[in-house]
Amino acid sequence: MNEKQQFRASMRWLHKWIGLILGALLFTVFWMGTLSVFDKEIDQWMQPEIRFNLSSKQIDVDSIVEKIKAMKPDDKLSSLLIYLPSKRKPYIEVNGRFKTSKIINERFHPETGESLGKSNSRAGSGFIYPMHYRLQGIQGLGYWFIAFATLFMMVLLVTGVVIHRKIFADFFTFRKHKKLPRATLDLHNITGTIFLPFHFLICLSGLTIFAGWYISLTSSITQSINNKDRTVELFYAADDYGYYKRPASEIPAEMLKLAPLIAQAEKIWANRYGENASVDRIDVNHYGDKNAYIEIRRHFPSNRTEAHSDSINFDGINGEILKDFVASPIRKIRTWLEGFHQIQFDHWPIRWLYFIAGLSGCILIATGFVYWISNRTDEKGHRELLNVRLVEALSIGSITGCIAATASLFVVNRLIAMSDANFDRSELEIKVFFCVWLFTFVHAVIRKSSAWLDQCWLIAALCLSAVLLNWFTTAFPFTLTSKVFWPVTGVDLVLILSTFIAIKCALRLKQPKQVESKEGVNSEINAALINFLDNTEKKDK
Amino acid sequence: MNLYLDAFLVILASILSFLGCGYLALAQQKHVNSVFGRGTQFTLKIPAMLRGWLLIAASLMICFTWNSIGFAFLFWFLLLSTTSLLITLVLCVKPAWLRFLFMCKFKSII
Repeated sequence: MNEKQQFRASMRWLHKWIGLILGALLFTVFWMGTLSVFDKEIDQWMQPEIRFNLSSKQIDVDSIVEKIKAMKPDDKLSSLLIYLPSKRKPYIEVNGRFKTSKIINERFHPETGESLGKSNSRAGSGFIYPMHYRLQGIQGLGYWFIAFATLFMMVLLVTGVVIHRKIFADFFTFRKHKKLPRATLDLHNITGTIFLPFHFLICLSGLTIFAGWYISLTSSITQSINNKDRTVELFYAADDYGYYKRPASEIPAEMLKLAPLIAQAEKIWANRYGENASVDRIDVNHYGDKNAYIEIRRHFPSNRTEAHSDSINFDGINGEILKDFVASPIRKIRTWLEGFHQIQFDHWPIRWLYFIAGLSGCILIATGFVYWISNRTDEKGHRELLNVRLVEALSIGSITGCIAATASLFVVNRLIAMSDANFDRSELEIKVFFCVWLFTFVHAVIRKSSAWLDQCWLIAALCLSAVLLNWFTTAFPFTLTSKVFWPVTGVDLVLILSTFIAIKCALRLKQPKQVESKEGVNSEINAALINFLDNTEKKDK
Repeated sequence: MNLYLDAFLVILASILSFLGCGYLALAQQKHVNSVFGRGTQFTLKIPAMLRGWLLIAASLMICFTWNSIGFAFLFWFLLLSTTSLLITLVLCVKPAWLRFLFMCKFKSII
């Protein structure tokens, strides 16, 4: 074995072990990330009270502040966080903090100003999206697990390129009629190479988003060791995100109205960038205090990729600009990477392409597992080794199991909507999700390789039930009288498509195993015939 | 720009990218074999590889007319990957569908 071959063999070893150890976690992250592309649409599917379009007529933000104050007349409002509506999230969300009472979290209709009440579901942005970046239940550790997995995903991509010798020769090659290991490896290679730049950038940008979190934690560790001040963390927050902070004076003062400040910030950004700019987040600190300040932010511009790049801090009493943050050129690279990952901009074709690219990542990881298992399976389909069985159970639970658990989340959301029981419904949804997921792992251990087939049927049944329950509990989307509400109908259509795909997979798995399909055999016969003709021609000459 | 023009430009860019990837695939003899049968060879004035890259470049130009530079590159880059995947699937499932790309003289050595 020469040096080059030795290097390739060591890379293959690394690729195999990282894939086996982190594959399940990576699939969860990719799957949840792919669904998070449409998190707001999933919110509208799971929370029927927010199924409305953004109206051009909008209520004054200051009247919302008055409503929040009126909710606790005996207490003093100390700070406010207001999220203004957008096309994909058409309601106003307010978090109000009071001196003594608990935090108020309210949603308001942007046109009428009516409260939309407490949500019964954590839905896409409250459960699926956080699962993508911090997992559930192990919040602090979740960030680190995912950071670790993301870093190693990049290693997997690099080692994959080293292992795959014929990147350009096999670029458009998928031999599905060949034996399972070859066909699976082809699919693994295709999704890996075609979407390689996307996968690499999405991993890199994912790490970049939480770079601040890792730095702040490491600086806290050094701080606890050296007992110094939090210089690094504060510098990072102020310089990178434009955060501004000052203490309260405890002297009461009359607050300014928010609407003129919003208009002023939008005008400043419009002049600076020569485009329409709209505010999406307002953070009011030390409300009613002489040292009150208001941070007005354009977190996710709708017409550009960059995110978190603009914020202005105003004095809450006299309206003076305290800090007008403009990202530095280096910081702009990060704002682009963050915006690239979080895709909160308004561009539907790109959003769908992200969805496809995300699914390709899921296929990449799933085929990696299937290749490993099929390579260790004998001609009769037996997997005798314990480690192969273990990996198969792990992959069934983490691939089809994760998909089935997600589908169960949709079903239970609609089932709960039918009941009038008074309990915490959002928590129940999450419990059902994890119970179904756990069940799929147990089922995979018991049923061995037959579990693939069973779980495909389970996915098909759950997806179809979710759509039917949605139509039953809310409204049939395709009526002649009403206009189609595309965010919800889109989710319905994807669920129907998933049902068909799951049925197709189940039927394919049910078929007796064929080594070569008819087409493959025919092409081999053709090849033999051509060779024969060529040889005869040469002999004649 | 109105919605219909946007939709038209998205479809046009997608078609150009799809055709471009199709020509790039057919620049390889093994894919020509799967589309037209073993041993088929083409004599093209403009080689398939060049046709492919020209069409892909045209697709990028279309993206520029309709998007900002950032969105244009992002859309094009994702579109290119997606259409490559689509061409791979067509080559695998229905390779004969790509025969229209070489609607010109070709000679078979069989």
